[in-house]
Amino acid sequence: MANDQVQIAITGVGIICANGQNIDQFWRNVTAGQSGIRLVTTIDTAELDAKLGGEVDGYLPEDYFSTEELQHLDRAGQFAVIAAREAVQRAGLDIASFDPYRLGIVLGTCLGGLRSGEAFHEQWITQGLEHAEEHLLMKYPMHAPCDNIAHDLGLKGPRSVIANACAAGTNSIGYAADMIRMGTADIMLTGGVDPLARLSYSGFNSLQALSAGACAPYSTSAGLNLGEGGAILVLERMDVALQRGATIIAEVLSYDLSADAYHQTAPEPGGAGALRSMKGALRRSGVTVEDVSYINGHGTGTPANDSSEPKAMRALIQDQHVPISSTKSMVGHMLGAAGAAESIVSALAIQDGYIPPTINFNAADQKFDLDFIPNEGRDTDVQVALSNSFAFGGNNATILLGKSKEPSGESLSSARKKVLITGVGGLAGNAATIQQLQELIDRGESGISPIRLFDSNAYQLHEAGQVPELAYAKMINPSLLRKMDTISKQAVAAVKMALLDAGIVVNRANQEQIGVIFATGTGPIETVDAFNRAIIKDGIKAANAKLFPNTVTNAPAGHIGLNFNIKGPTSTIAAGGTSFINALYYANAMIQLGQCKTVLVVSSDEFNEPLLAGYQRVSGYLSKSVIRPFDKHRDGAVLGSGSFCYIVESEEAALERNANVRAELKGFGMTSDVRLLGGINPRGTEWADSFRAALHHADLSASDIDYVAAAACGHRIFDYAEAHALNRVFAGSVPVSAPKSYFGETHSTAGAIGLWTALNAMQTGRIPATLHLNEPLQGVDVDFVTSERQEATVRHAMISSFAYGGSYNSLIVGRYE
Amino acid sequence: MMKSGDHMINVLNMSELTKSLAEHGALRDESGYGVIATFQGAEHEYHALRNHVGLIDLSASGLYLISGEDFVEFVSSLLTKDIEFLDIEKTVTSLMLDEDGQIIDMVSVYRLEQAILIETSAARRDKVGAWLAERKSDGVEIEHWNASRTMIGFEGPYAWKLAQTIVPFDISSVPYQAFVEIELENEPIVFIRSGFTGEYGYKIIVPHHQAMSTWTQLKEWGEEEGELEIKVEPVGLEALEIAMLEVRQPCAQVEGNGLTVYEAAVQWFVSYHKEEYVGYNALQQQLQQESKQHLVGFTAANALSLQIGNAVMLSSNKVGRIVQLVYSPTLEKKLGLALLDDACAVSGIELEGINEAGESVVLHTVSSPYVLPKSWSIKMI
Repeated sequence: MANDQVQIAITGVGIICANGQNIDQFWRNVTAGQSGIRLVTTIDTAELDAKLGGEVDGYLPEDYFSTEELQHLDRAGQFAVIAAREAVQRAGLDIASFDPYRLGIVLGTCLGGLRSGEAFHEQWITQGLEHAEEHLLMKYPMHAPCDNIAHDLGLKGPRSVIANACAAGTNSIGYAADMIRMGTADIMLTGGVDPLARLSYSGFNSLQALSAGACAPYSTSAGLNLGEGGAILVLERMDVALQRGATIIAEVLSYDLSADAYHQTAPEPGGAGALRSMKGALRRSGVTVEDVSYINGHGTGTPANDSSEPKAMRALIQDQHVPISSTKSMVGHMLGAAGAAESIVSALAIQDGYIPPTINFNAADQKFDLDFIPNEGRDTDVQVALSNSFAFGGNNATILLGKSKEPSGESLSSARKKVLITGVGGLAGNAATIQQLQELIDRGESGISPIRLFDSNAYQLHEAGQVPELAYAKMINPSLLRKMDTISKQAVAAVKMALLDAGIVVNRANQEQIGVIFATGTGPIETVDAFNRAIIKDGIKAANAKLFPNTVTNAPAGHIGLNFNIKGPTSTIAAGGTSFINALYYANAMIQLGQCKTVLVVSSDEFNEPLLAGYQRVSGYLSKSVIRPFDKHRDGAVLGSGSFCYIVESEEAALERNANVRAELKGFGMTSDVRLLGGINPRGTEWADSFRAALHHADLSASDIDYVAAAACGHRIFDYAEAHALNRVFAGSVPVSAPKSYFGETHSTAGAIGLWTALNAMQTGRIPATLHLNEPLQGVDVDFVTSERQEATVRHAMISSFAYGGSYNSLIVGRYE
Repeated sequence: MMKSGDHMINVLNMSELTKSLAEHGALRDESGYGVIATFQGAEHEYHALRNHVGLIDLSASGLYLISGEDFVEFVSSLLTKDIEFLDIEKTVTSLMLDEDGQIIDMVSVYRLEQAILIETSAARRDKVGAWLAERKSDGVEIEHWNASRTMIGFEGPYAWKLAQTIVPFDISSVPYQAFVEIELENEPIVFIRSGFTGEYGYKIIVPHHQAMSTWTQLKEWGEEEGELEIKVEPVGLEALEIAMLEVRQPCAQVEGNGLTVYEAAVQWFVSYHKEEYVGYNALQQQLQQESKQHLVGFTAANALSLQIGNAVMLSSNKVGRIVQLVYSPTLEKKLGLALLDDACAVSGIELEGINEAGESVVLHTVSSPYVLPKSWSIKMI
């Protein structure tokens, strides 16, 4: 049995949203068609026509959390933890009785801790940077709510964050299922969270996408209402669930992703992209369209969605009758949590044999001859439910849930396909191309330069890894270029170089088979800053509709699709510094599980004034002079920007086109600690375990590794933790270099740069020097490559990465033989 | 203009489709190619274009398929528009200039996977063909598609409904200026969305032997839309030219008739960052020499005696001349273009037209579009 057919059980669900603060309340209201849409109170809507939303009402954080806990939780973090606790409790899961490394989490979110970010931004602008509070920055990252759940429940397994805007919830459930099917975890928490925030509210308002009244999906379709909340599911491999006697609510059968490559915010009008993700989900599960008993639609209530999605549905079901409903009619659009809430509805529909209605349905305005379950739900046996989520950037996700079947009795197969790297393109710091990057590293020269993008006088640090101004007009279609921001331009440039390097031409024959996984640590800070700044200064109506589409983290993925006409599975990971290696893992999983054969793994990170300002407010983070990873005198990090793209292919696809193979992906190790938001375990225990997990996955021992590209960034604690982890696993037997000494902390992209040094070492035998490493930190037995580079035969190399909040992703690559 | 049966039908170069249609219409000579000028009368046909669906015989328009190793570079070297980022299945309109910067034609360029198709106007078809042959290099092959294929167009506020009967997918997924290669009755055809009149517009390119049956199939379609019974009517060049002018869609025989790019105000067909194409240097010179006149639209309520070529006056000074003149049934007055001195080349002023007899007619300069197409307020479902 192929692993993509391994049964995945949903054993627990939890929710907090506008019409229910737990599952019982929610399901009672959803089945009764009871709306949670009301006047929004947590955002000032005085200047706007649209004042309604799916706000969580009458909610007191103190009812759920201690004062100490609340220091680490903003509204999104609170919703996430509340829903996760409920899901675990309903699943009857005693986490302490499991190996914590076999329990992981994938969370979908559009905004993460943005409410904390908005508060910090406002303090910075109105009161000055020195008065802006540091604790807000700890809660701000996209991955903060995910870290909150893992810390609260003690999950030490793989941790990731899916950030493809409104499709994130659905995508995250699919990715979590993939992790179980890949054998990386036995139990996964997954779902999504998003708060109502000024950015999303004013942004959708600027696009004239908000309805002044209660939204009426699939009929009046005058716009959407935003919602908020957290929705979490517990997924388990079926044999694990059965062994502990869990109640199976439903099964996750399959999911699929697609890209429209049509427009940054509007869906493809004919619904072609939506149709592909729906058909893909059916194909992957072997379920036929005749088996589908219920569709939980994306159904936002905007004219664009409600005219394109029904076309795709009709094209899918042909002349069959399949009831369709929109949960958003009752809770609003919960963005990254929407898909998760809708999967919960679909799972409960299967369990209870009841399908909830689309409320506010006005038959007179209905444009399509489909059964939208108007206003009243009904008893129906639901065998298979299909749920859609579509996002900005034309990123589509569809998931299929089914009634629990007899266990197949077969276990996970360890057979694996070879997955190869066949192309690379990138830029970082002073290097605008891979060739320049190679020359720079070979010469042992820094890619960091005096800050020229803005006046750095107000800050403690005056250098950064800044990407040179490229001749983008020669590389990117001008009509697309003018709609792109820095993070997207850099990403598209890297993709262009990588496609050229790999010799891949995207055409109609292959465009739907090529996937894109975008990874970022910083996200589009430049655009978010510009967008928010206008609102802070001039009010919510000053929201700029041109900037808003690029405030979503997956905007670069959308631009990549548009620029290269790539329409295959497309996802975005924003898990902090581990994002790139995590994205590579996801690409590997997509290929192993047969979702596609070629994936572009793209990482892009910015450097700009808001980033410098923010990091300066984090105590002990920034250096005052130079970045000295692993050095006794290190005093902090220097920031940098960069973008990379790797082409990853199945061996079969690479051989078929006679590709130039650069390396094989050998193993991944993904662990996390449960210590502190924004911090990590200084002892490096879980970090060392990620090295061990990668070695185990690669079927190698520590002595097989010939080079380690470390994540060290010059930070006193982070470098110390990594050195201890290296000591514990490799005990001085492997040369270790720190590529961040060349380009600064480039967040997600640092993993991609580390990987490039590994590929180069395998090819040339040159292990890069660590710049400014003259007196390595003491008390650890690590073979640090200091400011002199080493020569060695490198057959296998390991790349280490970490994210604040305590997650660790390690990758082992080897020569393809 | 002649009725069928006249000797003209034997003199003009015509597709089989045009020959059979010519029996029911009046012909016009477009540089040796026969084009149907009217079927039942321009005003009747105009009404179909603006309210229903107008069916247009485009078989006289030139179709040249450029392939071979250097096809992109070759075509690019002859166009004012940058086509480096023109995606497969997308089309763009460009000027084709000679070395003196004079407009050879306004062409539509279709990017196929391994070739580019160039569509010319009927009147400039041979001129473009000769130009392509003259500039051609060894790495390029040119195929004259007119030898085997016929192009038919249809436009109007409900043209998308008719288009839906041809394509097997949802019609709204074909954006403006895009095309697809599909099959119709088991024959490969090109299905294009792009129009002349501001209404929803489509073109299809079919093998010759399928042309008449496709024409008939399209013409016979009809549908009830509320109280309206949507009909398809054959439309000739005269009605098309009126509708084109109403939205200021340029036409090679007017804008490309001895005017510079700047006089004709068709700079929007030029990519200003592009530097390497025939005519670039001449265009740069035109830009430096201050252009003294520009085309501006005007209306005239009482203009029965005006003609193309008549002088335009302001306070007894000649400030320009009339270069195009039609009757707009929607505006219920004459609509035209005048080449005016810079000082007067603005909308919203009153000028005088002086006809052959020396009589004065009041002209009002106006900004385009002069008529709002109905399609702009109709959404495809």
